[in-house]
Amino acid sequence: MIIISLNSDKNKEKTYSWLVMLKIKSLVEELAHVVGADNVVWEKEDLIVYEYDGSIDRSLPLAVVLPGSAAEVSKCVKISNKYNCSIVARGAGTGLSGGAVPLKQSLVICLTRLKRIIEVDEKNRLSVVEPGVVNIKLSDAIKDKGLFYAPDPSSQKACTIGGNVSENAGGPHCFSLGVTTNHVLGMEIVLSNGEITWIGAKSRSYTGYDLRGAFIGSEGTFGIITKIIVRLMKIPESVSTILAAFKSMDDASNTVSEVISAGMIPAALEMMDRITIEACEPVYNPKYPKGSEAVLLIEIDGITESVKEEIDIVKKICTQNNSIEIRQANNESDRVKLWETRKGAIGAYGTIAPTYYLVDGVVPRTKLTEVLREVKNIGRKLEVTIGNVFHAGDGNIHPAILFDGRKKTEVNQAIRAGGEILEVCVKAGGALSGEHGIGTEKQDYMRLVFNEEDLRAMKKLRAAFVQTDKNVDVEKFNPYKIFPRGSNDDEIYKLNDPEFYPTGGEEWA
Amino acid sequence: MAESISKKTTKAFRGNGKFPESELYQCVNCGFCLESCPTYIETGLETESPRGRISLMKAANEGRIELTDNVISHWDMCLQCRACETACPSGVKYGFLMENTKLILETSRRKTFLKSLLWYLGILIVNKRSLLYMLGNIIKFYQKSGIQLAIRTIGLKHLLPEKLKKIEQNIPTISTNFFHPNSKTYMPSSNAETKGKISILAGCVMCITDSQAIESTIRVLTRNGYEVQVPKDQQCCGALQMHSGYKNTTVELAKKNIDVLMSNNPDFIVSCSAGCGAQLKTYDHLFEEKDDYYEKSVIFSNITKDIHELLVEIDFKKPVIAIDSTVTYQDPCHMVNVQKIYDSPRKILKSIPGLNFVETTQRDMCCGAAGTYSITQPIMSEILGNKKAKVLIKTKSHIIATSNPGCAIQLRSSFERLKTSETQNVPEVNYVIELLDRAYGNGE
Ligand SMILES: Cc1cc2nc3c(=O)[nH]c(=O)nc-3n(C[C@H](O)[C@H](O)[C@H](O)COP(=O)(O)OP(=O)(O)OC[C@H]3O[C@@H](n4cnc5c(N)ncnc54)[C@H](O)[C@@H]3O)c2cc1C
Ligand code: SF4
Ligand code: SF4
Repeated sequence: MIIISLNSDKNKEKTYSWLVMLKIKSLVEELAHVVGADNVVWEKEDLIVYEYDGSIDRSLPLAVVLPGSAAEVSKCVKISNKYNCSIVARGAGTGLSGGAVPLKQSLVICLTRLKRIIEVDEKNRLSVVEPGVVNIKLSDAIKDKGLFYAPDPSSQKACTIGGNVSENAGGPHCFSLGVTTNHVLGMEIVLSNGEITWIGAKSRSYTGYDLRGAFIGSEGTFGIITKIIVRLMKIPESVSTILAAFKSMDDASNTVSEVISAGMIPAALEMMDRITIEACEPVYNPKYPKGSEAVLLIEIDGITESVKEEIDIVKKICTQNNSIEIRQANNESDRVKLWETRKGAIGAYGTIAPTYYLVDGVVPRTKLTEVLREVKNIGRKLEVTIGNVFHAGDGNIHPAILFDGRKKTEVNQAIRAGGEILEVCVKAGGALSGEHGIGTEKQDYMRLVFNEEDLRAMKKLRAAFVQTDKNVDVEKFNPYKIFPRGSNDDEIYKLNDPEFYPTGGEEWA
Repeated sequence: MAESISKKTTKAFRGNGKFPESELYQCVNCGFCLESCPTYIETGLETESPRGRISLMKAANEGRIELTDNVISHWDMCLQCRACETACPSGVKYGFLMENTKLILETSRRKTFLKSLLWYLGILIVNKRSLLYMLGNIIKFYQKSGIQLAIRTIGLKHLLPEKLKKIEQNIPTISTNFFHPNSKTYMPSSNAETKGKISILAGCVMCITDSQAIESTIRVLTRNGYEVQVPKDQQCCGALQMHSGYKNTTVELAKKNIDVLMSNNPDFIVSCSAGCGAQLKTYDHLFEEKDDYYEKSVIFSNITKDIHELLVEIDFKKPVIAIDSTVTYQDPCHMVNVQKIYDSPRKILKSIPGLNFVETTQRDMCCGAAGTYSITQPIMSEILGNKKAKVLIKTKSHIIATSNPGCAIQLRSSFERLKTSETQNVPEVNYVIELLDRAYGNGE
């Protein structure tokens, strides 16, 4: 059996010893016994499609198992303990920080088969879902009850709610409604010893520590989620969306600041720059006016009267800031059309370059104009193309560095640019990640914001969840993620370093 | 050993310089296509997803994997419904990538003797009309003589292996009369001036399973003022061959069709089957600029219209006879994902007096027919067919209207299966064009 690890340049091939092979075989057989042979993936070619997520990192798993119930998840965890291998949970694999990329030759537990909506409680406005339920499927299923699930990542047509909870995902509408953690009441989880337990509950009236809050955003390092209780919201009476095009980024940024200082909280406030617009044109054909350097998408919702009033004010602010065209959508199909381009914008970068590295920094809104200018300078200095599409409302920027992942020098430049952008964000008083998580992508920048003590405290929290008994490896779930590796404090890690991934074939055994 | 195969693989995908790399690497791994893919939704497996299949192409292209039966099985499980193409924000031409993959496989894969024989026969049959009609007659005999009934009721079926059993179930009901392209000229039904000339490609399967729909198409067009011909020596459109990697055969068929269908200088070439129409419209991709047929193929593809598309464009005469039924429309993949025609059939249905048009959910989901898929992947095909049928039954429609023979056959047999297991009234399956014809008074 040959394992190829792509991250090394030479397609370094790795052969397992026969002893390890035997172990893998018996592991696979035991798993198949629990979930059925069709739901275990182990052939070497098949594992290639589980080495990636939506980010640029890659690493092959040992095997992949797709359980069909919480009980099966628990059994799989117990089996993995017997073989002493670590586990990586996986939803749809759309994550952008390498969260679902299995390091340390882990066993991947993929939750795409757990996709039932178990309960919809209209009266209490909550729903119990399995982690593999695709985000938008939940909102679709409850639409005719006048309800929706608020967090709406741009990837909502594909990503799972389990993945959302683990990354504490945000989305365009999280500006006014809050991110995932504001909409999750509790979940059923499987711990490292295979025990199934609940944290949080349907009502808010439980006492004690908010373990739910600690678990959300833990990027799969604490345990595996098998059920989630989510809060549902009422679909607003009226929604109106406008799209405004501008001749400069500064005009667009100023509009954002003015809208907010006018005291409004739009349901969404999104910005796209020229490169992003160019990427979208061939796919979605939105025909934005010639010479647009930036477009803003602003959505106001609420009761009909006030929506009308507010949208008029917003339009006025746009015009005052030299907007060259304003489009308004008042019905659902026009709205969908306006949003389509924004939600597809990141994927559409494929029309420009085969790979993107999407940075996910947060900056104070007042520094937005300044930071965007610096991002532009970094692009110019390092000669990389950078597109911008982001949640302007909460200062969560997504500079997308566009390059060809097959070319080593371009990879290097992209990673350098990403690092410099993050530094700019932190210097401006911002954060490393708004919604995509740390994963493998940003782990080595953690020290830009946290000192050793902070990191130690976080590790203790992880140990509290994971170490069901003393012998359990703290790296049981999603190993080698989030925390910076080694002691190279200041040195920014190079992702294409051949040593980046542990490829020691027998380490797990 | 492993090494030498892997070298061969690299050669297969890259060595001849043919695999379109820029299109392949346009996929950025975002995963937006996952939930549009019927096989991914069914299995939850990345290996059975568009992104997974493209990643395997990349891996083969990079020489990381061998073209093992296992790898090929994932590509074979693809319906080529191209729903993923519609979902993709990056504009990845999945259909094109898959055609290229199949082309490479066809030249390099080892097939069992039985499989190659079956393929050879299958291709021969659609290539040669006389053989097609002969097969039609054999099946008709099988169905009408009572042998089928006997096999199905006495339980002889249980003696058949599982796969064969499913294929047997999927044998389409054969029309009483076959349609024979005959070059006859059908004149416009009113005396007013002729609006133009039309050549129809009748399709091969449709001629033996749904001849009435072809007749409807002719009547509807003449009523709308067109002079219509169904040229005699026309060939199969080549879609099935192309999707299976037989490009040379496809090119030959295309050349013949271009000659035959354009011989009387028509204003439009019309197809009433979504699959054939999609193929005809891309004849120009089969040739390169230096080829003799290139220019002709471009003109050909430009004047090719789907029947519904054409009717709406020419502002068809509104029908007056009522059809008092609840009707829903089932979008054939090659209509909506390839030809991008969504509104036209709906407009036609909604123009019929008395007809109560309802939409179904999961409109973008393939019914599992997918050309030869119901034969090559009978198990997945049946699962998807049943799923589709159940969703359609929920609309409480009397009639399911569609526009592709593959879908019509698949829906009928899926309804038939559900009927026996759940004993309920199942809807009828008709072509949109048949309903319009009926609302025109069937040419009376
Ligand atoms: C084009 C594009 C646009 C995007 N836009 C947004 C956006 O607007 N906002 C946003 O927040 N994100 C966005 N994302 C990122 C991504 O979609 C989210 O992070 C999403 O939450 C990931 O869900 P997933 O199901 O794909 O999870 P995966 O990628 O499979 O996994 C993500 C992490 O969750 C863990 N995990 C998954 N399931 C479980 C479980 N059941 N139990 C425990 N751990 C689990 C994994 O181990 C991993 O660490 C975007 C991604 C793409 C490709
Ligand atoms: S949606 Fe398009 S770019 Fe994204 S993974 Fe699928 S094929 Fe690739
Ligand atoms: S063509 Fe259809 S079956 Fe094939 S990968 Fe795309 S969506 Fe899936």
